[in-house]
Amino acid sequence: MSRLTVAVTGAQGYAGSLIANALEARGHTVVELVRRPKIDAPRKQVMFDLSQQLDPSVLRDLGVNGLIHVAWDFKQVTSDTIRRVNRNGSIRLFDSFLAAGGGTGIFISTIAAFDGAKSLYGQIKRETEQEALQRGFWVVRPGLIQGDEPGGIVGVMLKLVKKLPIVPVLGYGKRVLNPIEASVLSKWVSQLVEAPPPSVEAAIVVAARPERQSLDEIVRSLIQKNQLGRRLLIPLPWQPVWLALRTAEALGLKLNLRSDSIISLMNQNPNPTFSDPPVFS
Amino acid sequence: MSEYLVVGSGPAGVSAASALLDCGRTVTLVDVGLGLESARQELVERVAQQTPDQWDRRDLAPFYEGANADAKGLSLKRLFGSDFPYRSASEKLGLEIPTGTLKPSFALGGLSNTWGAVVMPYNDTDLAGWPIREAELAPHYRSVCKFMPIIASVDDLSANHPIYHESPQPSLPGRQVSHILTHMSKRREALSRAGISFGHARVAMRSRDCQKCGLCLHGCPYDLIYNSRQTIELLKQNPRFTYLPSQVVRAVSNQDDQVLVRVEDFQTGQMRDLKAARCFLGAGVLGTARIVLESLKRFDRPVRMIDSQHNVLPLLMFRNPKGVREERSHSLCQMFLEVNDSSLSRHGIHLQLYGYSDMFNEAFSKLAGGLAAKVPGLRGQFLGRLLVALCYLHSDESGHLTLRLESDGEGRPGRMVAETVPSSSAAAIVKRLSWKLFRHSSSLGLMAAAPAVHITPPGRGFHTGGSFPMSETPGEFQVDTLGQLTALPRVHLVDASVFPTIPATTITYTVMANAHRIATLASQIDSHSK
Repeated sequence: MSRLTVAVTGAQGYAGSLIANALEARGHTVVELVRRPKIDAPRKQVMFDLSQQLDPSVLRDLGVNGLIHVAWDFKQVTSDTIRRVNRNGSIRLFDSFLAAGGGTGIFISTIAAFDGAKSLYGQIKRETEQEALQRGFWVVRPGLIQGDEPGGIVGVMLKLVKKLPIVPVLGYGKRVLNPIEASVLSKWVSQLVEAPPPSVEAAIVVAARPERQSLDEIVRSLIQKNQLGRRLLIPLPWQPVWLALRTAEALGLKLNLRSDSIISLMNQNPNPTFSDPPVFS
Repeated sequence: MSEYLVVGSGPAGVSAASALLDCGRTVTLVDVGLGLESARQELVERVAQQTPDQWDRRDLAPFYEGANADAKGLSLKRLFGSDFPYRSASEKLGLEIPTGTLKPSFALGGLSNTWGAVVMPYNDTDLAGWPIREAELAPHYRSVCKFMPIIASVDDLSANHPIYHESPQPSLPGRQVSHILTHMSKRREALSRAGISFGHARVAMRSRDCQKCGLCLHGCPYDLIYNSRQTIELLKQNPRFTYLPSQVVRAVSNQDDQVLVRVEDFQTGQMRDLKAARCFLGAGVLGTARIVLESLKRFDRPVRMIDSQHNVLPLLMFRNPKGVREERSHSLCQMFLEVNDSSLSRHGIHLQLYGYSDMFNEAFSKLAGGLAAKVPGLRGQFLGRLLVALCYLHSDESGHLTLRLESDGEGRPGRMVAETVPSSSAAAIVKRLSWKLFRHSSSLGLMAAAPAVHITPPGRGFHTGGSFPMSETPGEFQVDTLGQLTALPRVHLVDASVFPTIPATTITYTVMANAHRIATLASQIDSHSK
C-alpha cells in the first residue's frame, strides 16, 4: 500500500478529526484544510473557507493525492446561501483538487441525502453528491454518528439530556434511525481512500448499521451511557418545536439546533441500502 | 457618455487615468478587478491594527502558503498567500503559455499586487532605439511621483538616473547591505574602473512608516508597498472618474470619430458595447495583445514579445555582520549594482541585491538538508553572509517569446499560444558577468557564487513587452509615439506592449511615465482640435 497525502476539510470538527487520526494511524500524511491555520499546528494546515476558492498549486506543492471533504457550513439557513456556500464551495474544492492532479476523492455526505429528501440539508447534500460522483469521487453517507464524545446532532442531544431533567422526545420518539460508531466510520473512510476509484454503480457507500434504533431508544442509551440517572422522557409531536425554531431563525437568532435538522431527523430515507464494510488488502 | 475609457487598473492604466483627469477629462476605467479572498482580507486587517510586536506570529500561517523558495529563487509570487493576482486570467484569455514564465492578471491593481516595487527611470542611453527621449519622459516621471512614493538617495547612481521625486522616502538598508555599501564606497575608484557603480535601491514604498516586520515578499499588512489599487482608491474620490469592475474587454473598433469597446461581463458572460472618444489599453502585455489581435482579426500571425531576462546569482559576503537573522528589516530590494562593460555586453546589466529574509532560511534548509542540523553554526555562518542578486539583461541580449492568436477554423478567435525562445547569448553573458564579479571580489566585499548562477526562462521576471513597439514610421504591428496602431486610431496602447526595447534597469516606472505621457498628449490633441 502506498502512503498518501490526504487533504481533509473539517479536520477540526468531530468526524473530521477522527478521520484524520485514522488516516495517520494507517501511515498516511494529513493536510488539514481549515479556516484559521496556525504555523505551529501539529499537522500541516492550509487556509480553506467553503465560500472561497482554494488555489490548486498549494495542494500540488504539498503533494496532495487524496481528498476527504467533511466540512459543511451549518451557519447558513436559507436554501440560497446553503447552496452557494456548501454546494458551490464543494464543487470549487473538488475542481481545485482535480486541477492539482487529483487522486482519490471522498465526499462525506449524510444518510439524510436521498432523492426526495425533505430537509434542505438532505437535498443540498444530495445535489453535492451528484457533483462528486460526476468527478469520480466516492460518496460516503454516514448514519447517525455516535461515539464517546459525540458531536453533531447526537452532541446536541447529549447536551440537552445533561441539562434538562425532563427530556422532550420529538415525533413521540417513534422515528427510527440508523446509527454508526464514529470509530467505525473513520476506519471505513481511512480504508476507502486507499481503494481504487469507484465504479459508478458502487460509488455511494452507506456507512450505517442496518439495525435501526428509535429516537426513544437512542435518548435512553445516551442517558444510560453517561450515567445521568433518572430522566423523564416526554413524547411530543415535532411540529411545534420545529415552528418555534423556525420563528427564532426568522428573527435572526443563532441557535445550536436548526429547524432543518428536525426535518432531517423526522424524515429519514424510507428505503436505505446498506454497504458492506470495505475489504482491502 | 464618458469621454475617455481606460482599460486595466495596473500601473499603466492608473497612470493614464491620472493624466486624463489632470487634463480635465471624464474617465471610465474598466477592469475585471479581482481581489483578495475575504477570509485572508480579514486576517490582513486584523494584523494591520497591531504592531509586529503584538502579533501572534502563528496566525500568519496563511501568508506563507504557496511560497516556495529554493536555490533557484522564488516560486511565483503571491499576495498574502493568495494567487488571486493571476486567477481566471489565463483561462478567460484562452492563453497557453509555458509554466514558469509570465502570467496575465485580472486583479484590481494588476501585477502591482506582486511586483518587487523596484523603480528606476531610463536615461538616453537606455532609450537608444526609442522614438522618444529622456527629456520627453522626465515631466511624466515627476507626475507619477505625485501618487507613488519612492525610496531614493543621492549617490553615484543619481548622476545617471535622476531622482524625480521631490520628497523621496529614506533608504532602510539592513546590516548586510550597509556593510557592503561602506565597503564598496572605500573602493569606488577601482570599481568604477571596472565599470561597476552601486547605490541604494529605488523602491516604490512608504519606508517612513515601515514597521520592519520583514513580510514584504508575502505582502505588506500596512499597505506601504505601492500597489496601483491605492491610486484607484484615490481616483474614486474624483467626481469625473468612474471605476467599472467585472468587465473583460474583448475588442475595440472605430466608428465615426469614436471608439467602440466590446466588453464581456466577467460573471454573466453578457456582451455589450461602450463608446468613448478615445480608449487607452493598459491590460498588460498579454491582455492587450489579445484585444489588439482579436480586434484586427489577425489570426495565426506570430507576434514577437521582448523580455529583459533575469537570473539569480547568490553572493557571499566576506564579513558576517552580527545579528543579521535577528535584525528587523524590510525584505524588498536594498541595493543596486550597475555593470557597464562592453566586453560583457553592449548594454548595461542591472543587479538588484536582496538581504536576508525568511525565504533564505527556507531555501537553505532545502539545500543543506540534514547537514544543517549536524554542523552547528553552519546556518548562521552561511545566512549571515548570503545576499541574492537578481541580474537583469537588456532585451537585445535576452530570450524572447512569440505569441499567436489561433483561429477556431471558422474565422473566430480561438486560443492564444505563447512560446519561449531562449537567447544564445544570455547564458554566456551571465556566466561572464559572474566571473567578472568573482574577479573583483575584494573590491566588492563579496564573492559571486558563479557556479550557482541560475538562468531563468524568458518571461519569468515579468519584464516583458514590445509586442507592438513604438516607431516614428509604424508598420503593421507597430504603434506611433502615441501608442496608436495605424488600423486603430484613437486606441492608445499604454502598457509595456509599446516598448521598442526593454533596458535592464526595471520596467514599471517607465511604463507609468510613458502611459502618463501618451494620455496627456492625446488629451491635448483633442483640446487643440476643438
